[in-house]
Amino acid sequence: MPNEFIRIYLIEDDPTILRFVEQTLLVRPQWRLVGHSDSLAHARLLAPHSLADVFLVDLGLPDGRGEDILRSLAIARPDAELLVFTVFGDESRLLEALQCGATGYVLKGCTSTELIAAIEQVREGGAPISPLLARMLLKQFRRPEASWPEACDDRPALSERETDVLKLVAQGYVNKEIATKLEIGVATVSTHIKNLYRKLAVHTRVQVVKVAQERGLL
Amino acid sequence: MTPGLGWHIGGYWILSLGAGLLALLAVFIWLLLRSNRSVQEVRRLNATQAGRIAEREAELLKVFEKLKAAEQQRLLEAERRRMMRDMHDGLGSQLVQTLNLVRNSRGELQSTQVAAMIQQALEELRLMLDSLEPMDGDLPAILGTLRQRVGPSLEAAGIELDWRVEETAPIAGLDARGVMHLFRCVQEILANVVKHSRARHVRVRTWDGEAGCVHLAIEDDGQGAGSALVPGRSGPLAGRGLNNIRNRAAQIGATVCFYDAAPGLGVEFSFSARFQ
Repeated sequence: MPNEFIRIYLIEDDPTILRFVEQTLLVRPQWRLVGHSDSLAHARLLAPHSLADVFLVDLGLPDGRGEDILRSLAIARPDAELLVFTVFGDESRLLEALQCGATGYVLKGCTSTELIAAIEQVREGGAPISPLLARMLLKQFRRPEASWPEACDDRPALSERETDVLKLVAQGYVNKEIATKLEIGVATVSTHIKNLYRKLAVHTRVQVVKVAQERGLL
Repeated sequence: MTPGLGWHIGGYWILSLGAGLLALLAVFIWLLLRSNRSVQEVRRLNATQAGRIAEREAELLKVFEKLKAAEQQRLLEAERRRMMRDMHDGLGSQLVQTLNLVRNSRGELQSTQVAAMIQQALEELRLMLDSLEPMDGDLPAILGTLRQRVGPSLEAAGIELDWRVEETAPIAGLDARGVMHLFRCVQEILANVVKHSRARHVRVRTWDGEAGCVHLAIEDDGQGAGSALVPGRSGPLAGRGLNNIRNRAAQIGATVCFYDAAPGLGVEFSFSARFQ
């Protein structure tokens, strides 16, 4: 959906990334950069009130961790897409970001075309994934209940189809090949992955809501 | 015999008996005291011995701890050296090439060329970081990770990747160091396919073999090996490239075999289950 109107909010302290995003938006004139924060404090104040559809979040902010703002946004803007901006895409940190509510990630150093493709992919219900991340997710979902953060009554479980998808991603297959192997649509493969991310984050959401209720904030 | 003499003899005999008994008692007491001293001496010696054993144990423990620390230090050193070597040969040389290109350009430099070189350096760094992720000898996951890095260059060259990777048993030799060796081997093979083979397809397969062996095969449908497989002859995989692959494979406990895949070239790695 290249003609869709998309509002983007950037949380990033590196001015070259801001320029890169601005340049990228020239290719999609119907998209708008509706907000920018260069610190965690600024983002905490403004981002949760923004009407942006997509938040691009850097994990290494000068005054704190991007994971903290992801948690707040996951509660304040559950319908928005939270894309992590990362240099290396190291899976351990990505897994934590997904648990905090991220719905995808983009590698810094990508081209404008790749950034546009990543935003379009999450807007269309898809989600990026790597073989290592899939492997980690398989492990995470197989872990005993106690190892999940702040034990919830209903531990998320993988469906048979989601397990099949994750196993094939972990073996290096790309979405198109997985769709052929499992005889499903390419979009369905992406949807399965996105659902997995939602399942991972649901614990964080439940946990944050619980804490907020206890503190009388909700 | 007079009665006085009888008394005298009886008294003497009693006196002698008494003296004998006293002597016997004295000997008994002396023996008792001596045995007591011996027991005490044995106890003292035992205590000293136990103390010495405890001291020796503590010393041995210290030596063991030192050896353990030294072994850990040695492993860390080896890992540090490996990473330094990788950085030197990979990322370092790429950055030097880029720097030299920029310095010697005399204003005729194309930004796309520099961007491509920096992109390559960044990919190299990502590859190194990938190798450090815990993969537990999971060959399909290792290959899948590498596919993300090398896939785009195959695609750009118009070569279709036929991915037939199946789940395999974990491979003991594929720790972080081993992963990097395998990355380099596969990178070299695929780079040769792109540069020299004129192939349209590359097939990557993995499977579990007999006796716990795991196999990886990479085949292309290009112009084939020709003289490349003959040591000392020229060709796409001849010389240093071929030897590098063999040496790296040996380091991860794998044997490597190059074969005619008619029409292209095939390379098969066999990982031994017993390699530690």
